[in-house]
Amino acid sequence: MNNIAVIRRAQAGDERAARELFEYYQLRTYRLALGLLGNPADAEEVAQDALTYALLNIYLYNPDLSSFTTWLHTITVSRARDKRRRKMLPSVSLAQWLGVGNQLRDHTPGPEAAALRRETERGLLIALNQLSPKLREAVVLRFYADCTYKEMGEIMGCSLNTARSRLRLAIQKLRANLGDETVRWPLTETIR
Amino acid sequence: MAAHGDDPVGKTHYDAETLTAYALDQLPRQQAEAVRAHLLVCPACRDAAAETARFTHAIDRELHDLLDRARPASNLSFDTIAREWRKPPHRVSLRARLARLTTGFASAPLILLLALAITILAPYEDSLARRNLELTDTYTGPPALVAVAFDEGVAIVRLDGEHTGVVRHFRRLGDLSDLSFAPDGRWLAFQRGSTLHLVETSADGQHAKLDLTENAEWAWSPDSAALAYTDGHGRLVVFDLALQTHNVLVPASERAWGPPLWSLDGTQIAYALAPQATANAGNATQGIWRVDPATGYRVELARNPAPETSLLVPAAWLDGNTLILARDGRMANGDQAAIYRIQVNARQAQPLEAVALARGDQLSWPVSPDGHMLALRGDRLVTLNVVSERARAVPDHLRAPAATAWAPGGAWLAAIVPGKPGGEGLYLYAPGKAKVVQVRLPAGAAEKSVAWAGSEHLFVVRQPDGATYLELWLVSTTGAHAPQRLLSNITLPESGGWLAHDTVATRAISLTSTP
Repeated sequence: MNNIAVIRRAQAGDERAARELFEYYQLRTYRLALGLLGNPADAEEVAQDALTYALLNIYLYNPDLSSFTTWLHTITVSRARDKRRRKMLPSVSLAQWLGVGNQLRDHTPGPEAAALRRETERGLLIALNQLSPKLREAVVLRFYADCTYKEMGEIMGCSLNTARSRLRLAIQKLRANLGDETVRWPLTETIR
Repeated sequence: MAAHGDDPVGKTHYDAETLTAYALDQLPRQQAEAVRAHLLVCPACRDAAAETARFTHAIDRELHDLLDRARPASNLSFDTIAREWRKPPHRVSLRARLARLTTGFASAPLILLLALAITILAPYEDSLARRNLELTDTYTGPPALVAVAFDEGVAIVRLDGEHTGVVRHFRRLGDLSDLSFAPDGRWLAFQRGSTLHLVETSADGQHAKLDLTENAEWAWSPDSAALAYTDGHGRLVVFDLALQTHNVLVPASERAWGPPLWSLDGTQIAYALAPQATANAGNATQGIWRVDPATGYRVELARNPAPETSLLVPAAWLDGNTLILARDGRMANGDQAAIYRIQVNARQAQPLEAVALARGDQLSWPVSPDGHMLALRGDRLVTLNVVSERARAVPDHLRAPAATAWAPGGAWLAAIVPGKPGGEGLYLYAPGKAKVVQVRLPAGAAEKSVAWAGSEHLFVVRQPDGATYLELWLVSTTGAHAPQRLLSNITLPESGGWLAHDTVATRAISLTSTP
């Protein structure tokens, strides 16, 4: 897809172009959000929210200032932060408030929950969960989104040097949290 | 330089942050060079950098493993966006509003102003013309893929009659080097700093990245299914493109080094050992080994007779015989190198009575499919049959060609002769017939490098006089049609010297293998 041409069309009001952008970016936005939050439901909500905001406000995007991906990542990171903040507030579901549904609670994990548990049991995810949100952002932006330090700074809203320090600190903590056993070292996989 | 944690050596080591930035290819070029120079002499920092590179590489892979398979439970929906989208007022950018304005009544003064600006600026600045590749829309050559450094990135162009067009364009990548297509054209590899990028040449194909070191060297397997690389830390690794897995064939302790070389059938890889490994062991040897990528079985092929002053590196496979290039380690690019032929099964090395020119650890002039190469006997340029050792003098006007390429069958050699006026630098030479033909191109641009596109066409890279960019031309060797400029505005190699593969790669493709 020729992104710039599609973005220009969307900026000119072309709905089909906006849909193309949505199709193109939905999965990667979801995965970025999942990397940032670690929870599929939250990631889904954040991805939908970020894409909705980005596309409805695409006229604000200036290609001379950053790439569209960087701009979208900035929105996603910001939405993920909001989500995290909201989750830190004490919240009670309506069902709990009304005291209904307890009798229906099923303690057997469904296939999705089991798959999720298997995923979360993996070492890296556990180690990521132990990082502070800012350090986690640094890791995901660098190693998943392949951002440069400069882009990381732009997205996280800090200087390049701060981005650099955060990443170094994150790596240090990951290294401390992960044993050699947890990370599947690529270069010792199949030595003959 | 700063203290390295609690290291007693104190201020003689780089700090973890700098080494991390170095490992991630995030240092400015000059600083990266300084760190690299330091690593050569400092085992502590070298180990720390290697460890960081290994760790970050593992994190990168693991994170991709985790996330690349993830999919939302229910598809995200465009419907909400569509509903909002249709509500007035339509959200339209200033740029789009201006564009609409210029199509209306008020356009005349704006167009006049724009025309005036172009008239004033154009003679002094070629940036307006350089915004696009100026790709031809009437390509008449055989189907081919071309990758060119362009617009601070790389563009992959498909040349195929009316289907000609840009397939992929990666922007804002920075300085690239070593552009190279897989033999079937399905993948393109290029290096940026210490990162090797592997991109599929189809429009929405994959993009994999391998974090190596700046000393890493790599080569495509003949079947395009894998890529072998020496990682700069002594390992020889095969990366499987389909499975995206790394298979270490030679561990770091053995110090594999330099470019790996696949045999023509892909069943063997020849590689050199770095001299340090043997020197540290107190036994001054260096040599060439081969490894079977399927089993990992490896065996020594030849031992360097003078490891203190020269390096043996594999240069080309010929039906089970390896031609070995020996290069004096103290010499710079373009220097002469002794050549040996090795009987692989007998493990016997035999020196040939000629020397080759070397560029880095590669031959300046490649070996033809039927075992011919350009070499020097005394001060005479000859074509040498490396099996029979028969040599034939090359006509004087082909002396010291800057770039050469053998035709697929090996019958013709295309050569760029430096120092000729623009349009007069391209020659064809048939060693079997002792025939030389000069191929004339339009004047006004100097020929820089050449590659075959099938057996009847050539791609020629040219630099227009006074220009700071390159062009790609198509030349019919049969004279069926006039030379054609295919595209323009290719970035010049930053090296200053002429390294065509740092800026252009070409690959003829068959329609059945077209991605």
